[in-house]
Amino acid sequence: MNGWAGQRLRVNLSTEEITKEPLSYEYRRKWLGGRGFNSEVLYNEMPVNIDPFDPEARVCIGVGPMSGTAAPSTGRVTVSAKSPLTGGHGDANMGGHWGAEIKYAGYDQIIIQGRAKKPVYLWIDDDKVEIRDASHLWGKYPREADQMIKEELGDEDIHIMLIGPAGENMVRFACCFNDVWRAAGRTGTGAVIGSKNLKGIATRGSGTVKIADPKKMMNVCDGLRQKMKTDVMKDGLYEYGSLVLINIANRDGWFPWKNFQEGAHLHADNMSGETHAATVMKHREGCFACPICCGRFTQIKEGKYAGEEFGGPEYEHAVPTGPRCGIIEDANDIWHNCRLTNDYGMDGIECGGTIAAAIEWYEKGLITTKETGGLELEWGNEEVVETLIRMIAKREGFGDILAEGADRAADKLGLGDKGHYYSITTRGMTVPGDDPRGLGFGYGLSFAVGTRGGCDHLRSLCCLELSGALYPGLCTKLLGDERANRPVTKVGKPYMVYYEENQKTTTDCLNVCCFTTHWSYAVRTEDQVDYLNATTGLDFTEEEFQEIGERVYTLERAYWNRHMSGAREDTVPERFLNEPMPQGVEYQTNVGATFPLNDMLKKYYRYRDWDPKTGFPSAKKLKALGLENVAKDLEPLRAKYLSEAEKKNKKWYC
Amino acid sequence: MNNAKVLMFNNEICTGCRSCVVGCSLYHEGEIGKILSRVAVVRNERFGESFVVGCDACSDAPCAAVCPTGACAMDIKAGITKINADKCIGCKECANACPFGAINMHYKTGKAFKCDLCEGREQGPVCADWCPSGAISYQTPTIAYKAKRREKLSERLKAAKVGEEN
Amino acid sequence: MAVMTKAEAKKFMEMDDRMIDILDFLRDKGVFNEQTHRKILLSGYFRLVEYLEKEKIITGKQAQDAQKNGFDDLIYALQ
Repeated sequence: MNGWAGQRLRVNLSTEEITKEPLSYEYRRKWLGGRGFNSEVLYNEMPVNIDPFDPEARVCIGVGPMSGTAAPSTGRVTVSAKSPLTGGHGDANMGGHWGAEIKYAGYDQIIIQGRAKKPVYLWIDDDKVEIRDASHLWGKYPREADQMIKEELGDEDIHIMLIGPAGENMVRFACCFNDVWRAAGRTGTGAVIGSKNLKGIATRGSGTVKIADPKKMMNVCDGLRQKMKTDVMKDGLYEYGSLVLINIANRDGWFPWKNFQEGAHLHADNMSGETHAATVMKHREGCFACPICCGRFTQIKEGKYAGEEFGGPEYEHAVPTGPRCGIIEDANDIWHNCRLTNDYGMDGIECGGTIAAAIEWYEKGLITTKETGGLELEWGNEEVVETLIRMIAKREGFGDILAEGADRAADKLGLGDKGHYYSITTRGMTVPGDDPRGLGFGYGLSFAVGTRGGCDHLRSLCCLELSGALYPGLCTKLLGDERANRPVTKVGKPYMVYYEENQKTTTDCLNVCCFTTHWSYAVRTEDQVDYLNATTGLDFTEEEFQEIGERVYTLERAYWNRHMSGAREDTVPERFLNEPMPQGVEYQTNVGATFPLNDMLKKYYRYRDWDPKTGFPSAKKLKALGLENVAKDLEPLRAKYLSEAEKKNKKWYC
Repeated sequence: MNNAKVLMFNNEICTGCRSCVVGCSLYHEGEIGKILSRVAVVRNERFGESFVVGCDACSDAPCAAVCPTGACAMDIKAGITKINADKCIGCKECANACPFGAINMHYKTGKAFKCDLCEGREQGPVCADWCPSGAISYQTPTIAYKAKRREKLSERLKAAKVGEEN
Repeated sequence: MAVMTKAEAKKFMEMDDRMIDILDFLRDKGVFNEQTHRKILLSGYFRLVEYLEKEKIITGKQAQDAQKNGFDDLIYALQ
């Protein structure tokens, strides 16, 4: 079979049953792979109100038809599970090389269900699959477990997915990694994996990916890689990693300072990619088949944390336990905090965001040392922040409350709406390091409606408003308006979000890296269709490509609707709506901005054909997408969502 | 042979991306996988290290020396040994003899296969062409060494100047 | 070809985001059916211009300008 492996692996940790299920042509054509396969399984296989930690909850690990091929950046994996953080659909995407290994081992997807009686790990050695004892690995950092498993299995070249102690402790935003440091960060998939007593999945794949038209594939891939050589975004990412964004963020007022009280800081450059490269960068890293190679490896050289080293960080990993908590003067503090969240295995965004919320609760007098167990929470206090990271990972004291995520913590502490104001979340998920008053109106709109909890830069990755200006004519071609290529404008944004969400979703189904298609625009939709067809021998068109993305996205939306989450929850943190951006630095470009959500949201619903009263997809749209069963599911729920009882039930999370 | 271009490998800047691996296997074999690549990448993810291993174009090649059938033989003009699959009996002696592990056995034919510098490809070897960092480069060694001497010299002069100023 | 009045054109020109409005308008005017509406919506603005040129609603020159300059030129051509 070309492209796909043609089967999924299902492992039931309760019964120890291991089965291989063929994937039909119809299924592969409809759902494509990766996130598409995963979202289909989550929606259709689990009872609606199942607890995320229930043994019968699924964890889906998906790769796509392009995984392991020569298209740009084909090592990614999508991990999907019902989110213990938000109670809704959850998934995360990680780089590295594991995605290629899974495909070479002969699988398009791995589904984990059940719960092992004691800690185990999976060993997938091509078609041989074993459940092995992991009691000696439980409690270990991913880098320790990685070494131990490689020694035990006698192969240093295998690729392993692992969780850290935070996942074992079911911290609601624990994550998983592959190749030690590449994180599938958001929505708490690591906690679900930990709840199953699964430490990780070791994989060795000695197979290949068959290509339908190797000559065409070579031409397409070569053309894209030649293009990438002179791509401006690639240059910035290769040189400075995603931290190249720091100085841009600062200038355009989306640098997350003190829980988004402000959008810029005079000393932001302390943690910029340029500074990182000159001081602590040990190595540049590339994910599988990547022409960009934006990965970093950091080694702290001075100060109290000298000697610590870790893979990363990304921009989004570094800002939450750094400037979002008021830390910027000593960048080594920030790198150390990244090392901690990596070793413990937690989403840096959610961890830092929760701590920042707690600091603001303390600042505003909503909590005192009584709740914090004596800790005085103040901005920029590294000792307090790094102590809280440890306490959260171990679920100790006040950390046990914060490990629930900011909105549940606010409820546990009885802080009411005031507390929730500072959690800076939508649907229970906190905003990443992109203040929509700066980057940007498109991002902000996608925060309101995003299908993995909302505040999510990756659902649309509206980089047409970040780097669109570097690709003159692209916004005109796709949206009909070049003015859309700036972040602080409403022009063209509803359509931009619609288009980019669909595009990004299909990209996640292929499981190629969106930095080749959404940050750098060297790879366009038509190029993806070309390499997909060259690989599979099929005849996808651009319309079908985008339609698959719309199908998967709409299914994920319906997942939320079934949990009574819809138009009322389509909002962004009030701070962005209410508080005009203050002046942080002289050259800041967005002073005074607030985020005009409502001007754009109604138009967005029209693009998606979602009923503006409920925020549910119309039956007509669902049927057009081949989601008749979903239309049936939602039919009785539309009236329920509009009932007085539901309206009173204000939900910060499901 | 002194003027022949060969592949040169700089492991200080290798990012471990395996762009070389996918390019090589696709170009030569029409299917994609590590097991079909003539160049290999070794990674120590824990420590942020990666290395690329390919044919070093030995002038006194052990692989050719041990071949019992003459299948593996030096192509003087190209400056690299090449394997004639028709003559190869799959004995693995060349793969065992290579000091770097740059020769492998093909999973379909059972015969040895190795780098041939993408003979006939207009833009030169795929791996060097696709390498994002320049860790693999396709160069004439003597010219590369001249450039290296200048680079290292200018570093030393710069350091000495800084020393003087202090 | 005149598909919209000056008043309608002015309304579209003043909008921040115009794709869905113009597509719905053209569909309701019978310029294309539901299926084509859907295809264009999924693929992008350039497909709209291609379609209108193919159906001779706009000339080759107008299509060229519309591809280059976006909705402002397209709306002008449709008046």
